[in-house]
Amino acid sequence: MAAETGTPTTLTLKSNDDELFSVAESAAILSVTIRNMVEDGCAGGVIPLDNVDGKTLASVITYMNGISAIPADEEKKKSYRDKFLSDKDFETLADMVLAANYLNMSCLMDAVSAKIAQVMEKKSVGWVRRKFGIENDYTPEEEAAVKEEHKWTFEGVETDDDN
Amino acid sequence: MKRAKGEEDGSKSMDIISVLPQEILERILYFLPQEYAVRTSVLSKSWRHVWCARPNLAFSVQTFKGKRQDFLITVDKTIQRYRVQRLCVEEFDLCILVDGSDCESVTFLENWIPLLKHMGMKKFDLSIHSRYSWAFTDMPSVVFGAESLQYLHVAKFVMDQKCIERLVLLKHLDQLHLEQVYIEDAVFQRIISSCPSIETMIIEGCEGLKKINLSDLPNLIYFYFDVVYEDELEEEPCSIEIHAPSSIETINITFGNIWFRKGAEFRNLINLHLRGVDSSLEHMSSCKFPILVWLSLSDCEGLKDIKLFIDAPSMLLFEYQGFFIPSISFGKTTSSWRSELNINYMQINNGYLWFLELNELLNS
Repeated sequence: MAAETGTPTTLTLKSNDDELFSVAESAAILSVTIRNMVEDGCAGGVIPLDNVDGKTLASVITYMNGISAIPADEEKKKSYRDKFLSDKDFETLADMVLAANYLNMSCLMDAVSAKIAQVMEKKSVGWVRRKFGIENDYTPEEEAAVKEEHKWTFEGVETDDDN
Repeated sequence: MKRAKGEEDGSKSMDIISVLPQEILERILYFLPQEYAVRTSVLSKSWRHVWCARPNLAFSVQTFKGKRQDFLITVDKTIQRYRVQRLCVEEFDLCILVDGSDCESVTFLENWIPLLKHMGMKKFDLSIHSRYSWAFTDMPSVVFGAESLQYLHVAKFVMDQKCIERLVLLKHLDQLHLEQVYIEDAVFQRIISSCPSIETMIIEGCEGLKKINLSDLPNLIYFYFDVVYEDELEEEPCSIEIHAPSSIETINITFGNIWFRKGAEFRNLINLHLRGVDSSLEHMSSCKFPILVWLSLSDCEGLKDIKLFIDAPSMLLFEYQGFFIPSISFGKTTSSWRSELNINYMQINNGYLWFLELNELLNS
């Protein structure tokens, strides 16, 4: 670690499609996975991240840099996260949440999970299936039985609208 | 792996959510209200049990459209299932209605609270209402024994000594909202002395309070107080002492008498709204409000016969409403502040003096 030299340490991360990325250690250790490697002294050379592709890793690093530049102000961090995720499509969000889980970055994991949840809230079952391409493999009888079991959950607001 | 692009037009697209690992799906469901989390079980077979292990439960009697029995049984069944499967309930959010006439809801609560404590509950948000007005229903004492309480909203109960018989230290409680309850000073003070972490306190339309002291709350950020206004208040308004905890950001008091301590510095106070305050606001003149932005004074008898000086260099908005022209002057203020004065005069005995006073106020 660079504490003695005073210059910020840079880490090199490698995606599973062999792209290399430089990132400041102070930002990268938002990932508990990377922090553990740094603390164990395994971060000298290139850190291979076998479960993250280059496109997703680039995005995660943008996030790491952005969020670590904000001082300890939860509201500003939250608004940064909201803005960061606002233009991501669902496919990207799914990649991000997988990467956040693998990298053990709870703040990103929670932000993406909450964003996906927001899409599902107050929507009909049919809408959610269509939106996410979920195939209904219940027989009509089975489906009716599950619905009956949780009858109370079908009494609230629901919509098929996209907004 | 290259995935097919999700298509909006209803044509068949690749399911990329169902294949996410269970722990991620659970995290997504964590952020959904209970009913939407549970109904994901209808999506497909692989979703059947995803919701079943999420670490948070949230039930509101309102979701059950008045079917209180269904509500109680559903909550009970869910908690019992978690218990049998040895799952953790880390967060429990409950909105429950207690009928004056029955004790069934209370019996369930008596069961749930100790059970959940053993199931790892760390955060307990409870909103407990009685159906009728505060005169009828006793607040169940089991509530104040729940040490993981973080948010508590009590509405329409009688809160007397009985309800605090089992009071424990509620060190996580950061929001306390009392609405239309009957509570006397001694019980109130006992409760808040057991809740040192309170940040938000709302006392709305309550009766029985005569004098409250909030000095025991070093973390108080937001304080709201009002009573239902009756033309002739039978009793003296409640007297409120806030010894300028450095944390407080908002004070909003309607028909209560706040006492300012001489020379107090309200270091973080941003909003100060006083309405119908009869106690003398004289000591406010010696108080410091370095970051106060919005000061609103309406119908405050406490402004009569005093010359008020306000030391609030950051103020952006000053509002006054009342039946008389107060004598208020300001210390150094920002250049962009504005004030709104709304004086409802009933009768002007001395027109000249009136304009003279108004002129003085406007000049200040």
